[in-house]
Amino acid sequence: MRHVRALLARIAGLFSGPKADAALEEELQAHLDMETAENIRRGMAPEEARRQALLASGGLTQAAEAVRDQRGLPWIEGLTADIRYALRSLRRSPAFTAIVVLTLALGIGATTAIFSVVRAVLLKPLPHREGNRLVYLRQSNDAASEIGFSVPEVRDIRAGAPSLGGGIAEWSSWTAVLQGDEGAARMSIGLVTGNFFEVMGLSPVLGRLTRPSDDGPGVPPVMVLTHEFWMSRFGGDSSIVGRRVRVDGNSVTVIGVMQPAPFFPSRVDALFNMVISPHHLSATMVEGRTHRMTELVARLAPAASMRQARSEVAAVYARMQRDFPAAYDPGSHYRVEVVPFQQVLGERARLTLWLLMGAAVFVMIISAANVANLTLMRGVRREHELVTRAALGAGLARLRRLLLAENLLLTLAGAGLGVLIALGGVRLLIALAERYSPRAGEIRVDTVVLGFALALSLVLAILLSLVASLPKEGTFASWFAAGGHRMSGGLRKQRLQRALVVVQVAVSVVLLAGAGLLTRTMISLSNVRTGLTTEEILTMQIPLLTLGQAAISDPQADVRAKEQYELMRSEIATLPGVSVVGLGSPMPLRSSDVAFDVKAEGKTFAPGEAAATAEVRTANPEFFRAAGIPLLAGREFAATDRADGAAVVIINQALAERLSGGTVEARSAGSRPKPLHPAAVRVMAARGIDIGGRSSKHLDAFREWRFDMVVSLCDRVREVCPEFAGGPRTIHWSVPDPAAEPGSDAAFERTAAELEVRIGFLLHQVSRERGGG
Amino acid sequence: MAGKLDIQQGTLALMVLKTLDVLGPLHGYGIARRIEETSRNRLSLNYGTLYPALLKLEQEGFITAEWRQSENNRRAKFYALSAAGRKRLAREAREWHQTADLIAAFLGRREAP
Repeated sequence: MRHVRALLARIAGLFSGPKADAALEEELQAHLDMETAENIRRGMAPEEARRQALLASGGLTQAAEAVRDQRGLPWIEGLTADIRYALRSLRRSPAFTAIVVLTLALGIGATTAIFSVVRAVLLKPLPHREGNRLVYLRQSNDAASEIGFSVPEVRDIRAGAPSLGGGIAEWSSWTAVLQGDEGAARMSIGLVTGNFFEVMGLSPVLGRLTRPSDDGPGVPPVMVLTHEFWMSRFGGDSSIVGRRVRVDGNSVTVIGVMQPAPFFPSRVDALFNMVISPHHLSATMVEGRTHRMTELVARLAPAASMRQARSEVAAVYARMQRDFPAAYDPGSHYRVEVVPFQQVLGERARLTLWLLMGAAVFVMIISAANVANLTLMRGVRREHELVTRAALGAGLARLRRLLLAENLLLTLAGAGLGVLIALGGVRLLIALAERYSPRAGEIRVDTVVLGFALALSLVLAILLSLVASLPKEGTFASWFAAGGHRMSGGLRKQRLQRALVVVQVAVSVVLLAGAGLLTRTMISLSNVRTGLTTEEILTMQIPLLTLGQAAISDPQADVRAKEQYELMRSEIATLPGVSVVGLGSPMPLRSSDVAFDVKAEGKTFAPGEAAATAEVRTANPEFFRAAGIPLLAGREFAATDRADGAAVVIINQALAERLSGGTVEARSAGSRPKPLHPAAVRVMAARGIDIGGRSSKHLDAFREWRFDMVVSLCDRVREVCPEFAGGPRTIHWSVPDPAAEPGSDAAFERTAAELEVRIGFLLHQVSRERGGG
Repeated sequence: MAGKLDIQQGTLALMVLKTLDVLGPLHGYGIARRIEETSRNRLSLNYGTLYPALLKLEQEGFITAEWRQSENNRRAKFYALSAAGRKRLAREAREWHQTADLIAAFLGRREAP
């Protein structure tokens, strides 16, 4: 306590100024006068009395100096003097100062900017209450790293994992259209269970959040705005709570605004209870074990550990796989993970950010080494001055302090400028970080980040002060003797300079190599063949015209919507400069929300081989031409491919190869098709191939198709065979018509055997060509 | 200065406190005189020793200071013991007695001068 009091008094003493000095002088003078008076009283002559008193005092000036040292904090006063001196000396070499400050600003700026991102995305605790108790559950398989959970799966986990007793929050990503007077807007929304906010540990900043009574059918639809959307769409209007808005044709009440918080896997604008989406309450969703649309975040029970949770979830999952083998294709290796929520939020960014941090530290090292070199060079020229100061009585500590003050000024100026650079850089980095982390919104240059920059500059100042070579205590004399005549310092200094150069070169090489690799990756990324041409193609996104419940309960709405799409398409097609307009969803290269398992006739997957799955997209006849997606085989959709026609599908090359098992897909047709010959059916049946249900087709049926290879079997066909698009390879096999030989099946047998051999060779050749390249 | 002792750090504070305890509020000159007299002039106090010590005690709150008229009608700064100072004096005096007894017992009786 006493020390604190004394320290405060001394800090106050720093600012006491001349008034305290005057008082001190008066006090000392009074003492002297009283002593003189006493001496006179003892019989001394006035002159002598005063002389004796002065002698006994030990010197008024020295006493005043001693008291002044006790009054304030002498080292601070010394430091201000040092700083004043350093300022003067730096002003004398403006070029040096400018270069050093700029170099340091670059290093400190880069490091500070990246640090602010690393801190927000990876290090800062989650804004959720006890965010470290939140775990993310992830189901994945060989085909997809994130497939979500189905409602029955959630039920099983909830029943079988008591260590997730803090609750399991469910949400599914969805999109909805917010209709308003100022136009409609597409929102990314989350459909959440009533316990969602309680489990996540999030609080409202306004109004209330959903609760379990908002679950199930027959409750009014409610909407909670995220803080971000509230600010951007409603301008932070606090009267929003209780207002009714139209979403997907429904009237929805806004019940509250939640605190800012990151979402995974993607940002959302608003959260709704499930009732808004009839699909989420439908039997398909609630009963379908493979209908996986739900993301899960759970809160660990108070005493439970991560390990417990993992083993319990693993046990439940093993039981599920045993009880419902159809839902977990063994070849696809379904698995479930329990990951801390904070880790999941940062996982895509982690590697990138640490790499960037490493690069920034390297830049920092380079700039520090540069500055150190400059300081050394300057030190050589300043030796003269330092020798003079030492000769005038400045001790080693005093000289070090002087250098420290100077370096501190330089690094602080560098940090100040660096923070300005960082402020600009952070804005760019947020755009980058948004692609990797939902927490990008939390990136801020706050006090911690500023503290980081300050600490960095302090460390740099101390390091730079240590670089300068000062003589050891007690060797001043030889230093003086050498005076300013030594040209470039001692051996130590030269070694240091050389080491600094080596460090700079080494670090620069690493940085350059890293930058080179990065550039190569960027180049090869931009060279990836996406299968579509992107030049001269414009895209626009239109919200779904079939809004809300209407679409499901009213088939007429679907028809009307399609008519409207067609109307839009044809009107856009008439615009000057437009050549083709295609309609489809989702946009090419964007992943689809819907994926199906695919089975194909004649293709059985080997045990242990993953079943085929395919993302589903929709497209109109012009879509492929408009998007520039080349058709490799078969035909485009036609206007006749309607709901009342045969179901048709176009698959991509990868799926085709998967389903054909790496072999070929074949079609056959004739110039004059006749009904199937009964002998052909019999012979093929004997070979285990049933063609009884097939029919002959005319060549014209495939006029629009693309083939890799066309094989003609009789000389006549060779002449009338149409030119197929894409210039397929043509092969001619002269095989006699078995139907020309009357009587037995023998001719058909011979023909089948010959074709089998020839096809066998052809397939062998094709697979060799494919394998070779 | 033969025969005069330099004052030990820390002991001066104790002497100042004791002086103020005995004589009541007093100015720097008075304190110096009293200490020198009590030591039978074996101690000499120059200003550079006395006044920083007084300031330190004041900063720590053991003594208080105020400007007043002195006995011969001169303005002077008078120092007075605070409650905290009184407590410190009692404690340190006790400790000094104990130490002195211990050292005396250890070194044995000194021959009379």
